Amino acid sequence: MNTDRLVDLLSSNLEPVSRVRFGKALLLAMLTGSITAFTLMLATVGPRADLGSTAHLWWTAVKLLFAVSVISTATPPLLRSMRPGLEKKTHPEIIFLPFLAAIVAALAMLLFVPPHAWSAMLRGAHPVSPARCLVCITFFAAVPFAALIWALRQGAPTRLSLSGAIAGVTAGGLGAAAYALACTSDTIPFIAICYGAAIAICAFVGAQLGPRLLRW
Amino acid sequence: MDELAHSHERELRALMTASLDGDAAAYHRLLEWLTSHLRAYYRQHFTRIGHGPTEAEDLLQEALIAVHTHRHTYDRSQPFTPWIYAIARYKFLDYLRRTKSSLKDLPMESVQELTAESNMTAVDSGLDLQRLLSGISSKAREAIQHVKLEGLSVSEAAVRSGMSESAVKVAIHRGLKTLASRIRQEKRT
Repeated sequence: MNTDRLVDLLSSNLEPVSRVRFGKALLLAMLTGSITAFTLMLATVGPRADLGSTAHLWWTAVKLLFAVSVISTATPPLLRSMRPGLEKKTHPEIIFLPFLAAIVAALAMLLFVPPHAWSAMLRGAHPVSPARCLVCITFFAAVPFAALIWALRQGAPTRLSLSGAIAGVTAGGLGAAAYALACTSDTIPFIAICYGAAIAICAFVGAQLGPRLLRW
Repeated sequence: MDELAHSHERELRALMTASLDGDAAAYHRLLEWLTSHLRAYYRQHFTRIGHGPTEAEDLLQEALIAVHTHRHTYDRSQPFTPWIYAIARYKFLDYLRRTKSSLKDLPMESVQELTAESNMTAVDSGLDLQRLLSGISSKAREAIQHVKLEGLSVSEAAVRSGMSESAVKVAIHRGLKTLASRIRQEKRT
């Protein structure tokens, strides 16, 4: 095929293109994702029974704060990754901030208690808590991840592993927000390590799947 | 960015903005500019990985279709050259991935490479438009045939095919996207 012919083909009867706001698609994906994650949480593990008490409500708020800060630092780079050419202006490093803050807070908390209490703090409410946390968050993150990939595909991401990883972090954050209402492990080190690890798994899976799901 | 890229930037951005508003002549000029510069860019990189000008032309055509089907991702408030360079670079890296070729360190942004003067003679790509078209849905093929090849207006094509105007537009857009993915599959070795 002759390239000039292709140029003629592409430019003949050109349709105007209206301005698109990818923020809308992203927001829609995050809404659908979080509703699904929340419904799944209600249908499986359910919210913690003692959610009524002020202390437990406060801990749930702390977990939600962590999840929301993860989501809100990951969303701007995710949005920017949908348009080619913004790579140099995008700073995905800010995504590490909430995790760093959580780890610093966790270390500070550990310093306040004697070393023999550390394992209880790290383990959470039950011996199975860390495993339950990892499984639930990654499970709840699956649908948000699929929705975010759908949204990303409306744009033209050029760094597919990175975009996939950021989508994974955002989905993990949404999964963590849903799990926050069910989680009974009320220690900062537990949140930093288990929530952090669950979201890191989501990021890893996202980075692996990105090149396959996002290519265009 | 150097002086040359700067002067091009203003002109290209104006052409792109007009194209997005539906100015076919501006779009034609823009695609012609892109053709010559992307051709030079891909040929230069293809010699480095030991692939010939025909393969470079294949990728050029794939990139042009990608630019077309993703033109909505250009933000009018942003400079044009980084946008086009990111697409050109992405398409090249995608080509490397699927043909399992390798090339070390392709810089993130070297706009100068794209804006460097280029007057390379065209070669035909190894792609056969009719064969590619035969691989897409009959609705999309008909729409592309009417509007893009025979030059009918969208409303004329709609009357002929018994589809609504918006259905014709959607069919063309989807058809071109399928066409691009067909090219990608064909070029996987």
